Amino acid sequence: MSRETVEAAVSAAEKLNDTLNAFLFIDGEGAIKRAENSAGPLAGSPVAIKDNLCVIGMQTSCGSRILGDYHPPYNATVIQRLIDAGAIIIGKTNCDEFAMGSSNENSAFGPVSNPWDVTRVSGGSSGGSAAAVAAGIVPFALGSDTGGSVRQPASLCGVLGLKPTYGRNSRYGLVAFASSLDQVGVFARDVSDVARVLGVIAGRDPHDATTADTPVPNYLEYLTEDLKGLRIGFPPALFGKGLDEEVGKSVKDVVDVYRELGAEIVNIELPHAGYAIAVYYIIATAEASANLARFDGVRYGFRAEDAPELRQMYRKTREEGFGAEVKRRIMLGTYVLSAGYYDAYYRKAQQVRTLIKNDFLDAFKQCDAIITPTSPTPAFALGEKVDDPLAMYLNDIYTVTANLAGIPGLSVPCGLSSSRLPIGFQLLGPYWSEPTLLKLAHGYLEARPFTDRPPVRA
Amino acid sequence: MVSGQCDTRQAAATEVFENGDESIEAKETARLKSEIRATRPAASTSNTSEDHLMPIKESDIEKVAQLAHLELAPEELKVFGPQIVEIVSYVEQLNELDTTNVEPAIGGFTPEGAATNSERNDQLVPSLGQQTALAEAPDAAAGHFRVPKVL
Repeated sequence: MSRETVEAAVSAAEKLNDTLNAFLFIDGEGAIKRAENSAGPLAGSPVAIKDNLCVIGMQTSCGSRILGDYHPPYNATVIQRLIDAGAIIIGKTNCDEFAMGSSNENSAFGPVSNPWDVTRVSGGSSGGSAAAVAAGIVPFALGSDTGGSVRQPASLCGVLGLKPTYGRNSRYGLVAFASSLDQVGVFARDVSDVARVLGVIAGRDPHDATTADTPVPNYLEYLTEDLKGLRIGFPPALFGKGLDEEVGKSVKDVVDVYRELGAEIVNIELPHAGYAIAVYYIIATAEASANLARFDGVRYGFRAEDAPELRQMYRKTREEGFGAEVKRRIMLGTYVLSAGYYDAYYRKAQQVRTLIKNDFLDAFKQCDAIITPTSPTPAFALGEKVDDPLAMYLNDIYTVTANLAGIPGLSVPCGLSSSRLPIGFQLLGPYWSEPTLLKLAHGYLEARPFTDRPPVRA
Repeated sequence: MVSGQCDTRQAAATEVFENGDESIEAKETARLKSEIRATRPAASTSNTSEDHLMPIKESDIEKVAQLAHLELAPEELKVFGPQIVEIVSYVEQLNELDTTNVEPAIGGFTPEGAATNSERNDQLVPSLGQQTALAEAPDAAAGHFRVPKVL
């Protein structure tokens, strides 16, 4: 049985790749062979992995020329746990270069198309994983979420996307972008699959000091719990200017559904949410400029030719190896950390980060979870925002706060726009509240199942 | 008042980079301005100090590129310069907030801010080994990473 499932996934991945460009590498033969005798809670389940997570025997390009066909010598901890649970990795998915982007157009290997409309973006940066799940190639996939890179593409592609609490999953073997924000996340079409996969990959890892000892519950047990008495925070200020009308209406309808299901809706305020993008683009670029210093053409990856002197080799390698958005962010990060500016930018941003975190701690005194849109608009057209970095950054306005505060967030599909593009809503909860978020998603989808399927599918 | 501050900054930006393609720049600046206005929260204090607003010059951008080990082409400098100025001017909205007694969110390991216990037994564990460590190097020789001459 599992062999047939994996064969079908591999052949769908290969067949749809001309249209979607969701995969950068497909290990058809290997996957089918591994499916022969797999055992465990995820036995024989095909899974796709974002190409910034290390898997032995496969490339890890991070969507970048500077790594190209780099083959890591070890498995990321989350990968090892998936393999031990019997999951079958069929390939590596396309993404924005080093996970920097909201449209997958920053991949050195071309953008991913949205299965709902191939002229539109899949979202990013984990666009390939989102598209692979939406198109039905695999039941679930892994991505990484630094400012919304799992939740936003999940929303744009009409699937579930979870960013767990910071420290819930190991980052060992996830190529670092912004270490205080990065977290491995899960895409799936069913809430039960999100719960199953999270249960497998979560938990303390000696290789990542930021993973927590907090026990990993059996997430599946919570799904069917009653929503009666749960308090859902509704921030009216986040439903104002800049939000697409259809998206706003759709998410407000979700609030009504929760009310019908017995939840209590509480108006809340997040006074500093409007500053989140500014804080994020200081902290994320600062951390990125340090993390990406390792790509210098010495130990792995690409090295530029015709550079007879060492410093020249570094510069040429990075100039030729990195794409425009990565260079722009390295420059920004270097600038905000440079002598004389550290206090004005980085320290200031970390202080406002504290205020944003405190906003959430205050809000969660009044509610068990918060509902917002995931993305201000449905999927936009390929090329539409590519020359306008700041406009692109504003796509993350609803998602970055969770990374800054370290809290979990889950995007859930809640219908289609008039142009038949998926709309998603986001649930945010206190630290370690993944059971509550999954239960809320399950309750909503039981009441309003999302049964539409994209035109491009397996 | 807030957007006024922003306009001054952007005017300076376009002046510095006026040798670029003006029509594209003007269009982009206009669009960014409206986006910035649309998303900028209302000022919560009147403390919109101009202290940090030093104009970024092309020579600053070159210096940053040097620090970052990037050898930017002149065309890239022309594009990146104004974009970085716009983004920096956007993030300066944080100056509206008084953070005098606010602790920066640095140093906590768990989400709650507590330090995680990273102690382990002092035991030898296998490492990658020389062969594996060198396997992906663009230029390995005699058990080392070979690089161009330093001096």
